[in-house]
Amino acid sequence: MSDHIVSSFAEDMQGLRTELFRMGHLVVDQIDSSVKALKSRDDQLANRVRLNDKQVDAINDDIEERVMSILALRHPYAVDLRETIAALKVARELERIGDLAKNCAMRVGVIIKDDKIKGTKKVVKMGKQVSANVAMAMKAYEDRDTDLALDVWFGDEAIDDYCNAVFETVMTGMMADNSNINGCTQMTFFAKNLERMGDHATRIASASHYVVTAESIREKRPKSDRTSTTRYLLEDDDEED
Amino acid sequence: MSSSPSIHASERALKRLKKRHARERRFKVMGLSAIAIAVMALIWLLYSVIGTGYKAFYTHSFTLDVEMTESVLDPTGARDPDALRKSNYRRIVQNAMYERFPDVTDRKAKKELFDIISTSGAPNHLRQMAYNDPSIIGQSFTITVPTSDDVDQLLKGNIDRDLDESRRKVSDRQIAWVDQLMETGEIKSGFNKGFFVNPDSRDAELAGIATAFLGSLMTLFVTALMAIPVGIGAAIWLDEFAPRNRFVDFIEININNLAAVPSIIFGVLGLAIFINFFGLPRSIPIVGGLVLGLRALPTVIIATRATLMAVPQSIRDGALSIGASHVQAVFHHKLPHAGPGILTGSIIAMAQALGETAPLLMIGMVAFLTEVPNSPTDPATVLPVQIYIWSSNAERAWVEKTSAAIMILLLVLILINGFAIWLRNRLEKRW
Amino acid sequence: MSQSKIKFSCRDVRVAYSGKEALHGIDIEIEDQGVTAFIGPSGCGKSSFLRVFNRMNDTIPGCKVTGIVKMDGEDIYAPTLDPVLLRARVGMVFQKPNPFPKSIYDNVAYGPRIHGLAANKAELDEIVESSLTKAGLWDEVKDRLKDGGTGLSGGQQQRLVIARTIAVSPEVILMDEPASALDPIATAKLEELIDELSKKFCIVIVTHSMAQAARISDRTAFFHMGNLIEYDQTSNIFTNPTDSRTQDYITGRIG
Repeated sequence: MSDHIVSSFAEDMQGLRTELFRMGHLVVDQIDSSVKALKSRDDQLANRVRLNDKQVDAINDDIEERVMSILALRHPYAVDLRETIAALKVARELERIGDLAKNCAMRVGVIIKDDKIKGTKKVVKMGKQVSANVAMAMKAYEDRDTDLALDVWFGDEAIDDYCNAVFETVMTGMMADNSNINGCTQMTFFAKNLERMGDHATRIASASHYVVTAESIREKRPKSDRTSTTRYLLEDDDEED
Repeated sequence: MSSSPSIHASERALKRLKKRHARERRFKVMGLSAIAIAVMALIWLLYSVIGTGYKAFYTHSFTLDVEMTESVLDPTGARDPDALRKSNYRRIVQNAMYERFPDVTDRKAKKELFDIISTSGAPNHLRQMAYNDPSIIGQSFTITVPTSDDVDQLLKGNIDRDLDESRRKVSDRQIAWVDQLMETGEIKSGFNKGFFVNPDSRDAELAGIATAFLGSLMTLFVTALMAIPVGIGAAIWLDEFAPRNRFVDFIEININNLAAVPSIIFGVLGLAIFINFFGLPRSIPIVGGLVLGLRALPTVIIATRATLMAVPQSIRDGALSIGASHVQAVFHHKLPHAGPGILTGSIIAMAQALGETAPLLMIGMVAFLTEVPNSPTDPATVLPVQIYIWSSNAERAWVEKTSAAIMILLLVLILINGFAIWLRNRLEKRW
Repeated sequence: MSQSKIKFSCRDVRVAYSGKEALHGIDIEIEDQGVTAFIGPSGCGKSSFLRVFNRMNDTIPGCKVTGIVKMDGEDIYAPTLDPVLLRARVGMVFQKPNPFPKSIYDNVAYGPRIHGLAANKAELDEIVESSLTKAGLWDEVKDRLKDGGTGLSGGQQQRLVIARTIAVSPEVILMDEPASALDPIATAKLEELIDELSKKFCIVIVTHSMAQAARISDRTAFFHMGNLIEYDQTSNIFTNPTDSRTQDYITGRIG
């Protein structure tokens, strides 16, 4: 695509993009770090994740400001309008993912106190999948790659499956030994947070799909989650934090 | 801002700037001197015209006691108007003069004495009085009549008293009498009303511009009647309704050419058409007006077209867009809008026609007329032609008459142009 | 958006000036309801095309229109159709406000007078008042109807021209960049008026301001180099144009 006649407009758009990609990288790092903290039982790393979230929030605020000024001063139309709006959406999703990563990191401290809690391996695997999905969603956005965006969208099914598997494992463990219910609950929340990050990644993919095609892919949303009742209950809990 | 000196403050730049300013000043000086030359030429013209012409607006008159001796004028006592017309009023005036200066007996001196007074003006004045009222015959009364043009010139200082007697038109004796009469108040200077109300005359002291002035007005009236409606109509057709083709282009080019054709050609045309073909009489304002109408036509057409073309297209479009027909759009909107401009153009064309001489010479409006015209079908002449006729007369007195007539013509032209400017400023709307 | 009646239907419309073709075969259908906007770069032929609908091109020497233009199914270029009558049905507002150099009252009354729409003075007064009211100008000028129309401000003049147009009860109002000479507030008032008028009249507007087209029109047609590139709902054109030329134009890229 050729560039804008007004070069400062093109610069504004490029600045918005750069900032968003930086946020994407930071958030993916946050996911990776929180998962790594769980895996290596590293409370310090978990702490750093918690502190780094402020940085994510700051980038989000910056992006909101940039979007506002582009809308007010540049009056973007068509693809520019879609990209500006999408940037706002993606930043919001990333900010939510960042929050969830922080939330995960906070749970690490409780989980690592008890060696007997099962499911760590599965959660770490799941975490890697989620981090990969978020990174892919951002790449799809960066490259305007609709195929990749669709991959992310459909890839969410696997994450849901992981989540159900973690639930089953932890449940089984709890039923066998009810001395560590607190730690197990934290573990399920960890997994649930990861699952929700996956959902946010699909929304990022949807936004990048929208930038290119002006069409939502929501109607193609996979419905593989069969434990919807549990899901809703957990979501209700989530509202409180 | 950078602290280094701007390239516009460098020495070379300053030098260049100085040169540019010098060039500008030179140009201004040239423009001013051009205007100064033009103004000086104008002042010179006005000075020479007004300097000589103003003297024609006052004249000297002689107040004389006359006796309308019945034995001279009407020996039969029949008071027959025809006979009274042929009576010897000259003798009455002569007798009155001799009576005023009883010691003049010499025949030559008597003739010189009589020459002080307007030799045809005074008897004609008496004849007119007797014709109007025959009962004055036999009575004595006082008349005021013009002095002869030579005496008038002498008193206006146009005749050098120090010249040798043989080389001036007024004799030493006449000078002595005139000085005496001036002292007694019998010769007085006063406003020259005759210049405005008299027709042309062989005698300078009697000649006036009435014939020419009225002739000009009548001619102009006919010109306006012909040139303005036809010209405006033609311009509207050309501007709005004419098809775009070679024939119309040809017409347009020829209208422009016509404006540049020497005006005498129009005189030839008028002579051929109106006088030879239609058999109209010569010298009458109708024919003059028609000829000048032809002359003014291209000017009116060109001026009207220029104003019509200057009317914003948007006005016409606005009318058309709400369903006005083409003719309605033109006559309801375009024409009123162009009105002031058309009026100005027409008035200026009329002013031009007023100053036109050559074509009128061709159709005989150069005649010597001692009658004031009563209608456009009476022979007449016009101001510029009158100026032309007077300027070719030899006597000293005609010089100031010519200048005065020029002053009147210029005044009328200035009034007309001033009226046009006033009208334009008053009516014109800026868009 | 529900499909409304078709007001104009054009097939292969070409406009040529002295043999030089400016529009190369336009096919379009203009709906009766709402506002249709024509956008495109200068010289793209949008104004020429607008003038097809009231045959104003007829008044330009050397201009030739071919193709079929139907208004309510009737060919408006048929030899039996009188353009004078057509223009009473299809009014036009121009780029520069062009009130007549007459009083405000006479400006509005002129159309009804020449078309004989009022039987007497009272009726004419009523038409003038209602037209000025519809044009949102009545309250501003009711005390000075005898004053010259050219003494009004630019925005008021343009609304006076609209009042003059609606005084002859047209079915369609064509507008050729009506706000290009107006300040933002006058433009806003005009846009509000257009929105109001679109409930009663079919409005076709040519505009250079894409923001204006986006604000006031229901459908937008994009013209480029004498061709109709894209014609769609305005919201689609401004969020997701299908043609790359439209995209480049409305996003301000080198086309």
